Amino acid sequence: MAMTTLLSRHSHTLRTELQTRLAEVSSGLKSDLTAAVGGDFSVLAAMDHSLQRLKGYAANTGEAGLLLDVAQNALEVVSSSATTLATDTLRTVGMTNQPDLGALANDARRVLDTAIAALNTRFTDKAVFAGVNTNTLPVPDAGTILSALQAATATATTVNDVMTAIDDWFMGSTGYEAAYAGGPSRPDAQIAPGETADLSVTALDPAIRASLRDMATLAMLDSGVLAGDPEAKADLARAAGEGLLSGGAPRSQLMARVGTTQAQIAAAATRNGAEETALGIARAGIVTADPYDAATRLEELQTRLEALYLITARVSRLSLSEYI
Amino acid sequence: MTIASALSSALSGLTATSRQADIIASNVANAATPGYARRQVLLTPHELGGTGQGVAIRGVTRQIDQFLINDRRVAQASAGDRDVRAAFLQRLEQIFGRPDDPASLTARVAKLESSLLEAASRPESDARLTASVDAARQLADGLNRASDAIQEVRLRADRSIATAVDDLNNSLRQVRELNGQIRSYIGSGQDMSSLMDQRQQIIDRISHIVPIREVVREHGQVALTTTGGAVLLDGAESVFGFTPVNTLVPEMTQASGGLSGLTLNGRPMASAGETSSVLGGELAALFAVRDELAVSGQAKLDAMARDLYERFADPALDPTLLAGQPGLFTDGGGAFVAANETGLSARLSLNALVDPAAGGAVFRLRDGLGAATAGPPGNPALLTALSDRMQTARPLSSTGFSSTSRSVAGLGAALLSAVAADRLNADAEEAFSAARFTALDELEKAGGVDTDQELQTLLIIEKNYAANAKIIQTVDEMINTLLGL
Repeated sequence: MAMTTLLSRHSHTLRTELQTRLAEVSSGLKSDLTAAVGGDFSVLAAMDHSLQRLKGYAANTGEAGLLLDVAQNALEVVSSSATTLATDTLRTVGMTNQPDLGALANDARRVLDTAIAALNTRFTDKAVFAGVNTNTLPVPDAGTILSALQAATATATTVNDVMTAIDDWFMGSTGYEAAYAGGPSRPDAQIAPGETADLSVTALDPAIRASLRDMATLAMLDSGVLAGDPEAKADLARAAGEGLLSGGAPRSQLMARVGTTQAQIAAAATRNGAEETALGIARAGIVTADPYDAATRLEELQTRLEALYLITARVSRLSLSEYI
Repeated sequence: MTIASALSSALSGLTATSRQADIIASNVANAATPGYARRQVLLTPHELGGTGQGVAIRGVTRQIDQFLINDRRVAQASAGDRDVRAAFLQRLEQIFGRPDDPASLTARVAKLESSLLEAASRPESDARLTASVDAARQLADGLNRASDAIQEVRLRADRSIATAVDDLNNSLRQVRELNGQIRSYIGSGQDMSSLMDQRQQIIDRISHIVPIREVVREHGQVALTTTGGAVLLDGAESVFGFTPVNTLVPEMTQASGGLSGLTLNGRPMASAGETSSVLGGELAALFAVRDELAVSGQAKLDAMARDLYERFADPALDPTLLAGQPGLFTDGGGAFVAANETGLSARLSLNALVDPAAGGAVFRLRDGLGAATAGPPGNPALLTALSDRMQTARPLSSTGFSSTSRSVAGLGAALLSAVAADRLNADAEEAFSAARFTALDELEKAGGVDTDQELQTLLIIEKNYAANAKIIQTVDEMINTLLGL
């Protein structure tokens, strides 16, 4: 009786351990994680927590990166069309005494449309330059701007008056800024633990406003402004053209600012990726069972269990009743 | 005359050997019966008038080692105690969930944090906001379920106590009845071994529930006391009293009077602590689960729920909230009062203002819980602040925990680690007490029936029987010789 109990207990112990090892070999994970971490889950939980947060950051860097890509493209469109318009203007105004200002104004109107369309770019249904009011297009269309400017310049008689009126409208707080339908700048986005990216560029940026101002000035040439004074009109066109040309520097600075943030986001994404990999490896070190160790133990257990079965069979035949 | 006495001696030998064979048959048949003690026939030479007159059967003895049995019973009780505690702590660890389990509390916390981060990346996306609201609801659900699971375990412990007390009372009554029968059989000189076996089995069952000492009294009687000193049976049996409950909520404890304690013969008796005389068995362990271990697990959950509630119910975080108003999480829909901490984890729920299923709107997660209409859709400021608030280290307001400042995730991990460390400890103790019990049990079984030994004895008895029969035959021949003269 005692012998039978002993044997059955040993075989139970061996089979339980065998099952544990089999589960470890087949799943690749330690069967009792609690014992593996000694009851202290803080490290493992912190790793899982960081991994989960890194997934959140991955979404942030991806989306912020795409948003800035789109913004950079739009700024590129504004900048290149402004530069082209500037050279066209200066060439037209400088070459002849009787420049074809009508064609220039047409051209400027087209460029203004393009720039406004670029500033009103939407990316996944959100307006890129509208700050936090992502559901509205920030810049009013060219027609609205030009008619507002006509009203603003109705009483102006000199080139300076016109330029001051237009400048006030664009740079002051009542004209363009009031017509701007976007909201305040976006707050910084979190792109990595403790690191934020500047997503603040809006259509209210001075570089953008100055470019729009000069484009609009040129587009005003064939309206009633300074009517009957071709000289003054040419002066106005020249001043606007020069403004567009000199506005190249602030535009580049704006694009560089966006570009720097783009680079920062790309670097953060790479760092996050590296951290995720490192954490994944460290986590695997805690939770995965060593397959070699598990397989060796399995082999050993098999041998022991076979031996035990053999002994059980022998012992059960060792009874006096077999021999008398 | 001497021939006749030879005949009667041989006859007594035949009777004795057949009785021995009978006992051996009984031993072999019961070789695998638990609680069966090996019997032996006690023989003495029969004397009549100063001369030998064959063999007499003095009785049948049960071969037991009372000290070993007592030790084994205490070990058995202690193994039962450790089993119950370890099983509960394992369950508690499962209820908290390990971090790699997506349904665990720590995973739910991490999910809420990352979904808030993702929502901050695209605050205008309703899908992202809904995902955050869902993650918050799942966290509240997780705490509710964990609390319900703990109360379920307490209720089960309460019912198990009632069953154990019934079992104990029935067993004590049966032992008292067997004591009575044995007394009357001993008086009439009959073999009462099987009654004693039966009594031993019942006492073994009692020793699962409470650790006991068996004291032998005259006339084959036994008295039972717990190792703590309470008299269970000495002539008359004691009666334990316990009233189970039908439903159990976190606020109900033995101290508050909501749950029944233990009585002995109508007098209240401590179920825990140094003064308790039932410590060390399954009964005391069940009381410990119901009144201490599960209550401490519930307190951990409540502390976590309170921490979550207080983090978000802060006008500095969400300016649209008034002081004292609940934030993202509510206490069953209303504000939380510190006096109601017990059971908060069962009541914690998502604020209906952000829950579309309860008539709220997800935009309030972005624009503030008190916002009447949706604000600028691209504004992630509050979402970022909410996510940061989960990461901020702050000390726990609940008493009875370390004052270390922790983030929500850190707190979840710390509570889980505390439970896991307890579980590992309990596992080690369980293994130790099980090993002690197994060792003593094997020792006891080694003193039990050995079929080989019985068969050897049977061979000798067979020869003795033949010898006695031969004597009768020879005496018969001698008498025939006499008659033929």
